Amino acid sequence: MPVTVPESALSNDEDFPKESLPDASALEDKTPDWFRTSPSSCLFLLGLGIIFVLFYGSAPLWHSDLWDHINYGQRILHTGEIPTTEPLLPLAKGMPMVQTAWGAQAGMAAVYTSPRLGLAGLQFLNGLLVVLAIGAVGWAAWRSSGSVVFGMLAYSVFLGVNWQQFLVIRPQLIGVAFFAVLLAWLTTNQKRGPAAWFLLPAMFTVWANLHGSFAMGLTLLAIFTVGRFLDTGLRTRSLQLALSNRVGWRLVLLLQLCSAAVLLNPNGLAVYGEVLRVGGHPNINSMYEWDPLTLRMKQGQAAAVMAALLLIALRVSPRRLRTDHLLAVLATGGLALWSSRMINWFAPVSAFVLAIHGAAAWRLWWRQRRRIAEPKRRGLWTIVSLGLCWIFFSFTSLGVQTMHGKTAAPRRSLSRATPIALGEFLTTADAIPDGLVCAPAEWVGYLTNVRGGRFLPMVNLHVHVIPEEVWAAYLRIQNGAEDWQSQFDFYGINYVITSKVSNRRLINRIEASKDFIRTYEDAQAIVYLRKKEIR
Amino acid sequence: MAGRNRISKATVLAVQLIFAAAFTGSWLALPPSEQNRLTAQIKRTRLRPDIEFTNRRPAVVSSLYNDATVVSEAELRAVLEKVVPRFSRERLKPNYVEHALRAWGCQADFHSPKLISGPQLTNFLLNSGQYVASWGNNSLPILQTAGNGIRIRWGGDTSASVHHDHLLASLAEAGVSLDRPVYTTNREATMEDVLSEALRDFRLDERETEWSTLAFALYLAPQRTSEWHNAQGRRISFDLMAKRLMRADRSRGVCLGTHRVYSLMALLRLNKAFDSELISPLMDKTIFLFLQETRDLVLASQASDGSWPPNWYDGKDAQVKGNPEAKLHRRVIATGHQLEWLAIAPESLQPPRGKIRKAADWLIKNVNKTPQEVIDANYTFYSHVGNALALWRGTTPAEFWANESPE
Repeated sequence: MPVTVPESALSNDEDFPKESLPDASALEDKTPDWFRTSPSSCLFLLGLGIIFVLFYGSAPLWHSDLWDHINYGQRILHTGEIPTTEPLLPLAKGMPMVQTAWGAQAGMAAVYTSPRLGLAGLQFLNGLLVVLAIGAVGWAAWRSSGSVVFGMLAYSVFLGVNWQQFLVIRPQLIGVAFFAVLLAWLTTNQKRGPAAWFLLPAMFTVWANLHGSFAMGLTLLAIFTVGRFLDTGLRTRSLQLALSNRVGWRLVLLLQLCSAAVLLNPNGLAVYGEVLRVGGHPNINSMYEWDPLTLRMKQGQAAAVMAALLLIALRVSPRRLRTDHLLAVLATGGLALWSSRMINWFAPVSAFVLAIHGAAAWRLWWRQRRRIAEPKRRGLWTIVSLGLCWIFFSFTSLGVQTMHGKTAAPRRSLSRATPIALGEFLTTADAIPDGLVCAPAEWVGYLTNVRGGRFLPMVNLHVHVIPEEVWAAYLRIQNGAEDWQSQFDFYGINYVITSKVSNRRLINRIEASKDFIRTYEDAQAIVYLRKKEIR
Repeated sequence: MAGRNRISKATVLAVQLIFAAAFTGSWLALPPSEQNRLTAQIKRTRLRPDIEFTNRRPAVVSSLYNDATVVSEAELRAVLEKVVPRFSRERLKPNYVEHALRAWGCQADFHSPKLISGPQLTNFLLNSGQYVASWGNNSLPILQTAGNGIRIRWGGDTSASVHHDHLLASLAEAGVSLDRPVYTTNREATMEDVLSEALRDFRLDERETEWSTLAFALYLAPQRTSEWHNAQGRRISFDLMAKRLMRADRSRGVCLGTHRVYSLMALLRLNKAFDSELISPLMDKTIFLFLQETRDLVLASQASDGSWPPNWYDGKDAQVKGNPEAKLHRRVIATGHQLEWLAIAPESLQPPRGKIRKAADWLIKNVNKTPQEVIDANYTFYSHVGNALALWRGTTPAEFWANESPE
């Protein structure tokens, strides 16, 4: 039957035939059900894509952490073995090393050294992991609250609170992504599916080979398990009913399976010991990023705002605060107060809880009696989503590199704090004498990578495998302590790289001494050579 | 709906089996050192080093020379008479006792009540009752129980051992066996427990590692043990210890950096004596080159009177850079210690013999004209002089004394 076009839609131009344009709304969607998505999904994806493109797709890679991990990864790829003692630092030789992040390190090294990927590949990977993490939490909030807007709010809040942690590309980001996926699974009704018996342990196996934060995943699983029993008990006021909660027991069994699945890694049981050991290592306590979270920190301020909003939302929300959610917020919040690095786990949990209670409060506020019905899912939206993904991809460095063959210069791909000029000098100069080099730890990874095996640093940022005495001496040196020269003599250091920003006192002391000469200077660094080399 | 959550008994059993098998298998797959470390970590107990002490007696690094032109018997006797252990038994300084022991050995018998014999010296260090009898209750005992090990109290306090593992090294050089009983204030142990604790708590980057290296090498070389794990789980090897000794500027280290040299020379000798299994061939060569350079600096820095200055490491610039107001005993330290390591060094590391004779002459004259009370006050330095000169006669102070003294 021919389709008629309304009169008002016809132009006055007699050349337009009256029966040419079909009504797209009448087309039958023949795409399979699994292929169909809703406009809400598209909107959700749009938000993620904008975040990805604006903040991560071409963002310069942060200079710390990254290069140490690449160096270890390159060593793994080169030797085909995972070292059991520290392989890169002369002063840490023989120190036991349980490389929980070996998989991530090898992966990062493989991406970096791949001619097709390189730095752009790392940028893309970084962005993808951030988006995966925040997306999982956003999705969980959306599913739980029925509101895509609050789902988007959840991922935006997560991003905002965890902003500083997301700046640094490191294997921990994989852990955050897995944690978010786990949280999403725990907070939606997926836990009843049979696939969980295999998928969840499999995820933990992969996680344990990528980063030691699998322990946080097990902790979250344990919290939700305990929370489940407690919740039932509190609601029914019956211990018997609480203990007979089947979902709770299912979680117990899953926790056991996941704990066992973690053991499928080259270090076996030692990973558990390592997780306990690293957290309490004295060297870790000297790292400012492991300091307790305070309001003096930007992330502390963000966490405080989050906590305030959470309290307000919980106060107003008609939705019951589940015990497992409460325990998760309290536990991760407590951890974050203990060490600011733990904000990685507090942010997704609190963002989720804020979103779902925020949504409930919002509905109450607007007297919305029932959830707005989801628009019909159609294949069209999936195609639109895929198209958006392609557009987002094309705006990233990797996209530009892949499609146009244009690789960005390192200066654009790396953070401004990366000592690129110094690295160039070191690769050309043959003035580095034998022996140890004292350099700022956050630069060592990059300089080791560009200089290769001929660069023997005193320390790097893997502080948990550095002897305490060595790390303590390094800190004294970096702070320009009075015994700086004694430390250099003790460690046989002939070559000193200093940062103009963070080593002012040390620079003044070296300049005042007669034993070192300046051999190089740029906007970031000054390099000194001992006049009479220690051999 | 409720049926979906139902968990079958088979599922529960399967999960328990998988869980138990996974953890049991993982535990069994761990190397023993890692199992020990994990157990100690969980139980918060002290980790014992992973060594079985099959050898009970320490090795001996003897002199390679017997040169009467360096020191005659009469000269040696005169020097040794001044460095016999004639200490007051009240508030007896462990540092003096240790130096006396390493020079005279644990069996020395002077047949004189005024002098403290080798067994008495050993007993003072290894029997807390004897120590307390000397120091009273005002000082902590030098031997302290540390779990199942025995720790030596050391530090700047004169009632303690002064340097880390110096007591252990002195006892090793004195020939004390690992079976020798050790008595703390609350239990009986053996020297093995002392050595075990020292191996356990050794850290490569502590300030002084000279005596740890020497002590460990003397006890472990005969059983060809070249590495172990310390309390931190770090794999310590003699290669690493040698590298550590060679690392710092030569001016660093106790006694003007000379103890590092002695320990390295001893390590080289022990490695050769025990089938080259203590250190790697590359490290053997590296140590040799280091000692060659040391010998060259020693040669270049010798003063015209035969003595070596405190800043011997400045080589030919030693006189120019030296402190003209440096105290004489520092020259005694430098000269005595240099002669000591050279006495156990092979020919390929020897300076011309004339230089040795000049140094020995200077020392002998110095000892002869130095009042006894000054020597007593600086006993630790002069004990090295006595030992060095005895070594250049292919003997030890105790052996020479026993042969020379009438019954």
